[in-house]
Amino acid sequence: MAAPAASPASSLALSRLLAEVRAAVDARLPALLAGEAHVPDPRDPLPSATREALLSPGKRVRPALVVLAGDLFEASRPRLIDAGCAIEMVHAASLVLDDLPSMDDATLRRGRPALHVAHGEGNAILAAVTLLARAFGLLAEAGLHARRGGIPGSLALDLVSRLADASGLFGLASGQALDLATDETGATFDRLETIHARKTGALFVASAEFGAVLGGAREKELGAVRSYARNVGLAFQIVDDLLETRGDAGETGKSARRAPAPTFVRHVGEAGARTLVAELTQHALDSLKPFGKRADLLREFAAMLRDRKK
Amino acid sequence: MISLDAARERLRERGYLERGVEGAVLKGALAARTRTRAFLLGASTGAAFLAGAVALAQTVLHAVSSALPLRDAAVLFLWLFAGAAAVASLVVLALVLLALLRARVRGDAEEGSTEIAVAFGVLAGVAGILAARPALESAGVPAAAAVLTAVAFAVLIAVRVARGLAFTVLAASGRLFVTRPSRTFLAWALAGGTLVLVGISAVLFRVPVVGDAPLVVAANGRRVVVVGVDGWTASLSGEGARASYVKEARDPAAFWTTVATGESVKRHGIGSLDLVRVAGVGAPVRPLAGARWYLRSVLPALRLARRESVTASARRVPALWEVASRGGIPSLTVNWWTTYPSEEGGGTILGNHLFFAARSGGALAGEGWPAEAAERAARLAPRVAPEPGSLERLVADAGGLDDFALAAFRDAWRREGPRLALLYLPGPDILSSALADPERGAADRVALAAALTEETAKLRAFLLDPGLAPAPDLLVDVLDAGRREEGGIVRLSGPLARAGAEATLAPADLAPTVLSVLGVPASREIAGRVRGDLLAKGAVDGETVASWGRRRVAAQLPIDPKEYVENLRSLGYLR
Repeated sequence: MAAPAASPASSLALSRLLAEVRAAVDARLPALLAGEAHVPDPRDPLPSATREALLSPGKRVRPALVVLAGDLFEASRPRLIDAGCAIEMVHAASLVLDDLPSMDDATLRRGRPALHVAHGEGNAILAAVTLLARAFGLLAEAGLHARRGGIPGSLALDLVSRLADASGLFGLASGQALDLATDETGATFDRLETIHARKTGALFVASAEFGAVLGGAREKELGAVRSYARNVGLAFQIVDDLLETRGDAGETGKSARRAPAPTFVRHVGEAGARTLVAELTQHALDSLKPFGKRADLLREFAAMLRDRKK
Repeated sequence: MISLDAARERLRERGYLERGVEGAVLKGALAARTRTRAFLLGASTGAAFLAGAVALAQTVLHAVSSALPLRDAAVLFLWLFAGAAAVASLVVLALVLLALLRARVRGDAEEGSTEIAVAFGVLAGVAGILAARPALESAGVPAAAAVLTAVAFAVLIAVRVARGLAFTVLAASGRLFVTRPSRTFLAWALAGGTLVLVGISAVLFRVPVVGDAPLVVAANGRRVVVVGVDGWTASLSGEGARASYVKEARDPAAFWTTVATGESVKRHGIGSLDLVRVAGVGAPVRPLAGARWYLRSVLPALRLARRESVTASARRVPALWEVASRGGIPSLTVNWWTTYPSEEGGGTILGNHLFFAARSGGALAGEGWPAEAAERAARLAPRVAPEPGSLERLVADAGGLDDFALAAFRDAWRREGPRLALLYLPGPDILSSALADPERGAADRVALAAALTEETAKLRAFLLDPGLAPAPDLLVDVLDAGRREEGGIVRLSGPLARAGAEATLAPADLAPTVLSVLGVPASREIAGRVRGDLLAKGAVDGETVASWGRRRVAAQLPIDPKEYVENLRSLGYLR
């Protein structure tokens, strides 16, 4: 399957869907964060820090992936949005932690002061912990309220398990730890892949799996979606590397004081990196072949991530 | 820096740049993932698999049972597949309904589909065992292995289809949890279990091959004559015993074979005039359970098959004359059902279409045994016959058959003086069946009624005074009400009949009772029992034997010659 041509009609459909998802997620996140019947204490700095970490403008790429994968299997859209919000909370927490002085020591995030700059390091850490806890909590609540529009209990446990894998020792946390422990000389190609697979790829894969699982995908179907997400995730990171190579915080929205980690660009060159992005994207598209035209939006999504400028 | 090729290689090693799981297996199902299309695709695929598995199993069963060559088996598979597809569609529909009902109950798709698959697998297994038994009874080791494999395969597919279909429906209901792993071991376990059960069943129920040990017969010099009259239950005067019976099967071949063997229809193997000639299949097929209705009724109704007359080769158990012969008792059998082809080992046999063969002047091979007896009897047959298809022909055949049988019987009795003799007289049944045909006009009815009156008068005279010398010690008249009726009466006369006794009996009782009178111990294996209550005191001694042995079904099932089959059709036995 060739990379999708830029069809105005279908691109419009994807743009519309992404806008819908972004709007739905942005509308849903505050409610999910606050929880039901919870009145925040105005003296407590944590709610506002948490809200800022979560609600700062973002592309909502991962929730979009949840919805696109779920649509492939005709999953319930409200369930997909809630599951996408859980993913987004983990992602937001990871960004807060990444920016901490003890880690990347970034001062800008999404073009705004990093959370620890605005609210202090302690509150930033606590906000990240809160977001992680809330992500798992909302999945558990969905399972508890299966008969009131939630998610069947066993299914919720399945999602919790996948999210835990994507966040912990084989996911975000591990990827960040490896990143911190890797200096320029230790940043081999393989190590770099491991870091990216855990820091970025794991949550991409979890997002796609969330959608597929909620749609009742069978194991082989899940494998196809997983293969798509894995290839797209790495391509996404290499594109990040390419954008970072230009070192423009205006393009990436991030400014870090720590010396940037080696990138794929340094291993294979800019042209090589672009080739890898194209090939990874192509293989992601190939993974979708069995789904036929129904996966067109997912294909365009991969192409969009490949061609993004920021 | 590393080369791009090296980078690619590294990424491949780490699980990237792979095409995932797309391929022929998933493609169709995944491309139609919308619920309606998924359902239709799943249901039709499931039905096709199920039909294929059932047709394959049935083909193997029939191929083994009817000794079909490979080409015939292949063609039969196609016919069976066509029928199985219709049934499989209904089964699939039932499975879908079951899954929908199950979806109303709480639970997950994995659990629900497993329950349905287990239940369906057990049903399929039981059906497979029941269907395989008849074929296994006469199969050798390689054929039995093929049958077992085919049945296990069918169960395996059935379980997989049931589970897959139920899973799809349950998952598509949208309210149930779908887990990731699928338990393939379930299908294998059920298939394996069925295999073991069928194997055990085959061992337990396998019918022994005829034994070589001679029967020990008490020498008593008695003579017994069994006369079967079809289609007429007269109240005949005279001393003797009388019993009524209800038939297990109305079909004349099945019933009269039960009388001659003492066995149930299921065990003697002559279910009816039931070989089927299927379009494109060279050899005749013996319909078995599971496909019997389809092969015997559906395909003939569609003019894609026609039923053929069954022959002696399909009989699985020895008849009276064969048991008597094994015991050294000379016997004579005249015109009895399914005595073609006549072979050595059953005394003198004048087969059931010797009359037609003799009348047409055709070859007499297989029409009687020994050949000299058949040739001698053939000289008693008329050489001319009215126009085929006419009423005159029907009347002439009905009366002619009886006349020929009576003449041949008397002649052979006089020449050979057998101790056991069987005579079958079909005339009244042929005439009364024609009379009952609503399409017959009034004139035909009058003619048939007159012929029937004449025929029964003739038979009454024979039964009241057979004029046999030497006279038999026991004369058993089996007066059956005919192929449309449920029963008949048995009249026992002669010195060994108990005067004035009245009872009911099973038709299968006649064979062991007759043989016991001749000193042959009764078989404990057969369905029939010796009816001493209808005999004079001391007529039977109560001796029994484990088995009279068994008769192996011929490897190739011959059918009756075409001419005879046409005669059966004209006489109303075959449609």
